[in-house]
This record gives sequence, structure tokens and C-alpha cells, in this order.
Amino acid sequence: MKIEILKLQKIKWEGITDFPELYKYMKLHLEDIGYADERNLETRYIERAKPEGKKQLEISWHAVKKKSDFFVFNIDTNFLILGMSDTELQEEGIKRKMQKGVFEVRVSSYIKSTDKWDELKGLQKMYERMIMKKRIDELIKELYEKSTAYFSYIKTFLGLRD
Amino acid sequence: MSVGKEMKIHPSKGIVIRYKGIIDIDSLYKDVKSWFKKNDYDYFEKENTEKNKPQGNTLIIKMRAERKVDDYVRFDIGVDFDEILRVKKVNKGYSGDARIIIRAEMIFDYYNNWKTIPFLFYIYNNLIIKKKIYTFYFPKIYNEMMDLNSLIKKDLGLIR
Repeated sequence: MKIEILKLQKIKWEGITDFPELYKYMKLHLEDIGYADERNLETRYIERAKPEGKKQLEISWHAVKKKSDFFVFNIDTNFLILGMSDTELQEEGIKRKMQKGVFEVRVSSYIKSTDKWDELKGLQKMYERMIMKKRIDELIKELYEKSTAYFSYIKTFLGLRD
Repeated sequence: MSVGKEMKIHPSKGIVIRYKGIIDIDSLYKDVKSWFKKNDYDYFEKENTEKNKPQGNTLIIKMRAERKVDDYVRFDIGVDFDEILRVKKVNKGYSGDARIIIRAEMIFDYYNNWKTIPFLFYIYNNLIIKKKIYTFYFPKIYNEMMDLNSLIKKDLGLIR
């Protein structure tokens, strides 16, 4: 069983940002809420060199949190960065290295049942489903709040409206 | 007309509002979000794009909200800031060209309990609760859609 909460929600910023900082803060946010650790988050990191010293990045993260024996929370993040190049910005008299390009982040979140849930049979399944209905609604609410907060966090970092 | 899985409330292309001039995008955005919250909708954003351009920024914001009215009917409302062009900061907010689209629809059997028995689903929608759909659910969501339309027009200073 899979219950989708956010479906590939898109944040796109065309301009200048501190991308390594964004990357780091997003990772820390997921770690802070207990969805990831250093080793099990990144599932893909592709960097392609493009003409004029520009780069294209494709990064995927899969963050998980086990909620019970029956359900697991998942938050997927996909980055697509096009035409990224370094640029220097003067901020309060200090030169700061930033990145210029098209930054796209997509966030999905969903609840997945474990094998233990799927293997329930007969009366036990009926019983669990009946008593779990309310609990599932609570889980949906919890993941909705966590994943929309994560989405807002990224928007705020990029200076987008929230 | 038979009632299917969903029923669109908006005109075929949605309610389109076009505006050129001074827009307080920040307060418009906040007001729409608050409206959803006030009316018990679960809010999320399908897209939030901003392109930094010399002639002024381009904005695309696709706001989505849904409310489970009961175990059978769900209201879905979408507001698209479908390209606000040439956004430049001025004294009272921003100047720009905006196209805003409002869409609303009703989703029936959103838990898909009737998925395996489409015939009964058809009978239920078109015989048993058809009257309730047209006299209870439809006016409710229609009024909400128009209320939101008024709010956006008010924020833009348009005639209502």
C-alpha cells in the first residue's frame, strides 16, 4: 500500500544562490527530523561538464523514517541544476562565491506499508485495517506537515514566497 | 448529464483574471493561502518558480488545496499564478502583467472504495445521491470558488 502526500512538487529558481549551502542545509534539515543520515540519503549524484565551464547536476535523495512495524514515511528529493557556474557577489563589503543557474528541486512524499502489513491475512487483516484507519489518518497528517515544512524551508532559503 | 468520478465546477479554461499594473504579490499570495486555511483546506504547492531576468522577474506559482467534505466527496481548488511577467519592485508592491486562473472540482469516492464495482458507483452517483450533489455539494463549492475569485479581484483592486 502506498499513500501519496506530495507529488513531485516543484520549486524553481533562476538566478544566483549559494548552492553548496542549500545542499548542506537541506540535508541537515532531513537529518534533524530523523529522516536521513550521512550514509543512506543520496541515491544518485551526476555532474556533467558543459561548455563555457558550466555544469549540470542531477541529484536524487531518498529519505525514510520507520513509523511502526506497518508503515514507513518516505520523502524523495530530486535536484536538476542547469547551466550552473560560479560567480562572485559583494555582500556587506565581503566577496562571496555563489552559483548562478537554473535550480529546480522536486519533492515527493508518501507512506508505504511494510511487508508485515501486506502479509496480514483474513480476520487479522480486517481487524488491523479497522483499528488502523484512524491511525493512518494521523500518519497522513504528520507526513503532510513534515514534508510541507521541508518544502517551505527550501523556498525560504531561495528567497521565494512562502 | 451523468455524474462520473469528478465534476468540474469552473468554466472549461478556468476562471481567468488578467491584470496589468501594480500588484502586491506578497499579500495576494498570503491572502489566498489564508483563505484555504480558513476554509479547512489542506494546502500544498505544485510549483513555485521564480526567474530572475533583467526586464523583471517571472513568477509561476501553482497553488492546490483539497478538502474532504465527507468520506465520499472531496473538493479540489487550484489557483495558478500562471506567469506573472516583468515583476519589478515599486513603491506599493510590484508592477507586472498577471494571469491568474482559478479551477475547482469535486472528486467522488476519493478512497476508491467503488473502484471494483463501477456499475454500483454509477447507480449511486446518478440515482441515489444525484440530488444531493446538485443541491448540496455543487452550490457549496461553487460559492467557495466565487468567494475566492472575489478575494483575488479585491486584492487586485478590480471591479467585483
